[in-house]
Amino acid sequence: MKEKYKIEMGKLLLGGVFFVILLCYVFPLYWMFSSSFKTAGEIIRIPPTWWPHLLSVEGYIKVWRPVWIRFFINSFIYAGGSVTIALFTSSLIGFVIVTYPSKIGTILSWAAICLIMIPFTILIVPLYLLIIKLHLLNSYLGMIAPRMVYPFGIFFMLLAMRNIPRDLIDAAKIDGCTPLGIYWRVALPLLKTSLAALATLEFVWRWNELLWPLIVASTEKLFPITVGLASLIDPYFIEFDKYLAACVIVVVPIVIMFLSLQKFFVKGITLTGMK
Amino acid sequence: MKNVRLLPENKTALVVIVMGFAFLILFWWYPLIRTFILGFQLSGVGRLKESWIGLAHYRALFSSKVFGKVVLNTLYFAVLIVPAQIVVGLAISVMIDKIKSRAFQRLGLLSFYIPYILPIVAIGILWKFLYHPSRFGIFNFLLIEAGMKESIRWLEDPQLALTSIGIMQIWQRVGYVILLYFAGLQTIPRIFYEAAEIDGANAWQRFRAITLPLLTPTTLFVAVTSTISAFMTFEAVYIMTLTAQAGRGGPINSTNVMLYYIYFNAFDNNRMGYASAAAIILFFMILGVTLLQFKFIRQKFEY
Repeated sequence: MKEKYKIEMGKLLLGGVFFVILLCYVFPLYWMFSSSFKTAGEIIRIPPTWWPHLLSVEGYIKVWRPVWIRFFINSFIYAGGSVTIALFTSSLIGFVIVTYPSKIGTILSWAAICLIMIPFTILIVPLYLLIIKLHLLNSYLGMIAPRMVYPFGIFFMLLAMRNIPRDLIDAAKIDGCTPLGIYWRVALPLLKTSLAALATLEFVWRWNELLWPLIVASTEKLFPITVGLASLIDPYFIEFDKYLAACVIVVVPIVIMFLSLQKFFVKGITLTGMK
Repeated sequence: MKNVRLLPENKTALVVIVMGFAFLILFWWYPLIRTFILGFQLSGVGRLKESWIGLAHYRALFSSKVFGKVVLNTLYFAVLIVPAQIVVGLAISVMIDKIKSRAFQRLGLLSFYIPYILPIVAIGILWKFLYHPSRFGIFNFLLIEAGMKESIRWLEDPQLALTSIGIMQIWQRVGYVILLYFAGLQTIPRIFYEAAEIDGANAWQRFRAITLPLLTPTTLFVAVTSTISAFMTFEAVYIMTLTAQAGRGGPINSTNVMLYYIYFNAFDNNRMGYASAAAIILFFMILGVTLLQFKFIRQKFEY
């Protein structure tokens, strides 16, 4: 009886420790949120106040400009556009290589697989020069173009395609279905879960990306949200109420999106990580 | 595989493959090869033509004190955050795995995961506020309340600045590691633990003999991807180290890392060739460390 009591206490203690770790972990996010509703004076008060004593939206008013809506739209265009196109091309290429085996297809798959460990950002210098040469600097297309084909996506889709029963595709072939017909009607519905998982993950990465859009977009009307937020920082005149309000404006939509799509996220992480 | 045809039997399939080649070459292989070539050239936007200068960029890089510091900073950063992420991530995922209630498990995973999905731009601004040297910076406030004499100059002290950025990155990325390890833990059959328990193995022995070796593939994946992303750190430096007097990467280059150095030379100084040579060195650093980790982790834990 006493033994059991001891074990229960141990568990309770462990649970308590875990809970404290969790609270410390999420504290910075709470601090961002609560500080964004403090007045400029309260935010730099010593000692700091644990919650806003005077609820104020001063920071939000200071930082809000209609162009923020534009930033959000641009992020949508950049992240949405590059993910949609990349996953479309990846799945189509993966489908064709697996369904219509050929030597040239195998070469293409290796040409993609060799690249999966190479980070995109290491190539920014020649890509920038290329974008200039193509006259795509400071345009949506310039931001999206290098993202249109995605080696890891091809690799991922090759693996996913291998798991699709051959018979289904062969049956469609015998029935006289065209390649695009098979892709659209047979392969895509079967790849749906893997695609959704990879898409959500990719979308967040593109949404959060700073470096490439920072280089390509030079006018405010093309800035995605990350570049817009970064351009706000003025080293001569730091206003934390303004910055933190901007951070909340940027963060809240992502959190909402994440909470509604978390099923796909977890799947995406485990699928891409469990290979 | 011997009798596979050179070209696919179907025309549409051929078109797709050719298009695939075209895009892959234009946006991946060509830039990759061009980076190598640019490393031997004098190049910049506005110059009419690149001119060959041989190994001059590499000679300049290897004799540059700043670049030496940049390489060391980058290596230090990876050594600081990768093992920490693995140890902390594994410990917390084991804790979450022990939680009985499904709902609490989910809540735990979710709370740890949220910082990972937020843009580093926002996280960096937030941590600049948390790290503020004045006492309204909450970290300094708490430390002084706990009895420390002076406030810590987290981002202003050259000895400490990169470590401070590292702590922030560990905080932000550990949720990703936790999720991967948690998924890995679910694949270990419970019967292994039951058998070990009957044999009288204690919790630590079970962890060492069962959990750790069976998680090797996850550890390898985490180590490789975290190292690459540590080497590719840019955003945090760009956001957190900006000062009016000295620009970014400071104080005195203490937070200047490879990707920022490349960015700065290419896009602020228009030295495309020099930046490309640095990018090539970064490329080989990534290649080297990845191969090393594959070898090391396989040898150590595989059985």
